[in-house]
Amino acid sequence: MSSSLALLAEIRQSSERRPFEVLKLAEPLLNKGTISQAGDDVWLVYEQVFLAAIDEGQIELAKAILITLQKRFSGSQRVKRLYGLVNEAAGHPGESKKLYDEIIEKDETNVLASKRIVAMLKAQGRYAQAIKELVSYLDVYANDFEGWLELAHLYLGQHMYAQAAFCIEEVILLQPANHYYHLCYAEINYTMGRLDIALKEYLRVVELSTDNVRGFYGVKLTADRILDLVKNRPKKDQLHFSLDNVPQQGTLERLSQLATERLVNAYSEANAACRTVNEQWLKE
Amino acid sequence: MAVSNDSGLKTIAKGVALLAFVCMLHAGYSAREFLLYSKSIGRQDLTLPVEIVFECLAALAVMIAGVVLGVGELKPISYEAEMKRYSIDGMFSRPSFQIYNHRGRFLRPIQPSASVAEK
Repeated sequence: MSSSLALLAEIRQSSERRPFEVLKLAEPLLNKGTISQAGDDVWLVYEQVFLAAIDEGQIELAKAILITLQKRFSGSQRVKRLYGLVNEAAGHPGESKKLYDEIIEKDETNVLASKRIVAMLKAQGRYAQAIKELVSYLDVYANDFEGWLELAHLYLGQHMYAQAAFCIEEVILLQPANHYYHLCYAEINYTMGRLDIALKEYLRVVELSTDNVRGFYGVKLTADRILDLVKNRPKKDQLHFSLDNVPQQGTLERLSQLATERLVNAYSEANAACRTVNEQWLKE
Repeated sequence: MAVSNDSGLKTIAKGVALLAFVCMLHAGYSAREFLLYSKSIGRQDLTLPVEIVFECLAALAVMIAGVVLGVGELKPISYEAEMKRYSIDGMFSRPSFQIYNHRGRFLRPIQPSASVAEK
């Protein structure tokens, strides 16, 4: 039994959204009452199962858990927020909005409720308002990296790449050694045609994460495209970056070669079909 | 087999570390006795004899080795090794901004749910 509790804890810490697995693991725990074996973590497990339940639309289960939590933590803001969530999932966003406004009126610094208001605007498809709300939120809480990340994705949804890139820069400032954010930044810059920055960032990714395949694909793509541009010299206004900022031709060729070599190496243990696809792509 | 050998080695290392600790205590006790005795016979030169110093230092070295070998598996401490534990989905998930009016409820039929309320 404790193994499923350990698995639940692992899912909780990874902050991935896996409601089906959570419910499947938690159901026997709830039915047999062995959930209390979790000790002090039991309330975290309840919250986790609650979130999974509303993700799956099992409102009854969620409400039952909520009663348990309410008994233990009466008057808690965190539990109050769960009431809002269950209303959102059950299709009563009006009541949730009222609840969040109430929480904020009482305590302006309640971060969770402010974030829910943004999320509700997003759920209604009012992205412009959501962005506006989130921007004013980030004016106050500039060190909230989750907020910046969300804003970046809202901007990406609207194809506003320059703004999204700015947000990811903030995220990178807050977590400079996390290669996933560098990767995201590189890809946004690549999309915008700023190949010089993209190349630098892809190289940063493979520096922070040894043999990162996605990173090396990026290095290969950008290096080859820049090489193409260096050789063909298009007109200045067709470029989104200055060719003075890129490494010398020899360096670019060596980078492209290195990426090819590392990619072949990365696929050396994959099955034959994967390997041929990769090799064909590299040859082009 | 390798595992049992390994744990055997660890037990021995822990035993050695304990022995070295006892030796160290012995060195300390000897030093105290030596100083008390020297004072009582009025000796001017109070430097410790080389055997005691040697015993103390040797015991320390053996103890360090024993403790290092005797602890559990050493884990990598680089940031990269730490990052390997996280997936890209986890890194980009934003739990506070999740929305719940999605198709989740249609993906699996609603089951008669667990009876938590009664407990």
